[in-house]
Amino acid sequence: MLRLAKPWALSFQHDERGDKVIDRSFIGFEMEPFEAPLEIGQMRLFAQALGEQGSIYVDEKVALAQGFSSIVALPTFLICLGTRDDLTYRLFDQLGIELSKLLHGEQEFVLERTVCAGEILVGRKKVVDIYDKKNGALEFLVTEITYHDQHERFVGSDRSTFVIKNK
Amino acid sequence: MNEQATDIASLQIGDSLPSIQTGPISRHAIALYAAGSRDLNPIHTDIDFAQGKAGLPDVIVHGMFVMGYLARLGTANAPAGAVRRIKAQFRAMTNVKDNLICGGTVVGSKLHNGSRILTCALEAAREDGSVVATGEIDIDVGGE
Repeated sequence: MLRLAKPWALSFQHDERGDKVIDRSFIGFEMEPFEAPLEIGQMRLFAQALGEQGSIYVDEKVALAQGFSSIVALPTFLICLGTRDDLTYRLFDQLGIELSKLLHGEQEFVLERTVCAGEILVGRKKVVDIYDKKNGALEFLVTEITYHDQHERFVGSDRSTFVIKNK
Repeated sequence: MNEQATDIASLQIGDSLPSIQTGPISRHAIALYAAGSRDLNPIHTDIDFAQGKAGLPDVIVHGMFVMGYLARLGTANAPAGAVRRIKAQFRAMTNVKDNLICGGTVVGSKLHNGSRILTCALEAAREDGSVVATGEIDIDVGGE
């Protein structure tokens, strides 16, 4: 369950031109850790949606024969774990960001090791930075999710930069 | 392993990976990616929202759909688990029916824990050459 540590801190500042500006006190804000199970059906649908040709990403028999515990997650699959339970969109809502003004600016995944269907990771999401350009006309929200396995070993990370068009 | 298109370990700086095309991206492909990724932002799936709320002429393609195709330059040419990092900058909106050509060029090579890591610059462009995304991928090509 996503919960804000300081819900009372939610507020908006306004610059001299009246643009809505995300509360900078959310920089460094960390959400509750969340469980992120890798579901085989979701992973297959994701691979299908991207036209992935490699059978190791969809066929469990092939993955097992190559020594993996189940089908292997594609390099960008971590994005699906971060959108679980509307984790992403609930944060936008809490920060007062309208979806109609939002663009995905940049995305990076660091993959420490291969992850397979059936694993349950723990994700920890935080707000890394909030800044603006053009006198607040464009705002940037940088979030990072780190994933660890059941042995608390680092598995990978998801760093997203979103652009909010206030004009 | 027999699905690999290229002997990636033999690539040198300046060499290109075989490009991958999305084909003209249909509304169905967008809907499928929305379901497959659980990214249900209506700007990608609801033309009324895209036009009425976001002021766009039509729905737009998920940036992550484009990045997913860029990542296929890694999965098509290297074994599972070889992609160690991938980054994308979304530079323009991708529209319905855009046919993106996704390409990669080797720009770096380094040793990390006994493995060679190839870094490739990535680019996704429309058929007219206009770029919608650029990026970088690190691929572990194994021991020396």
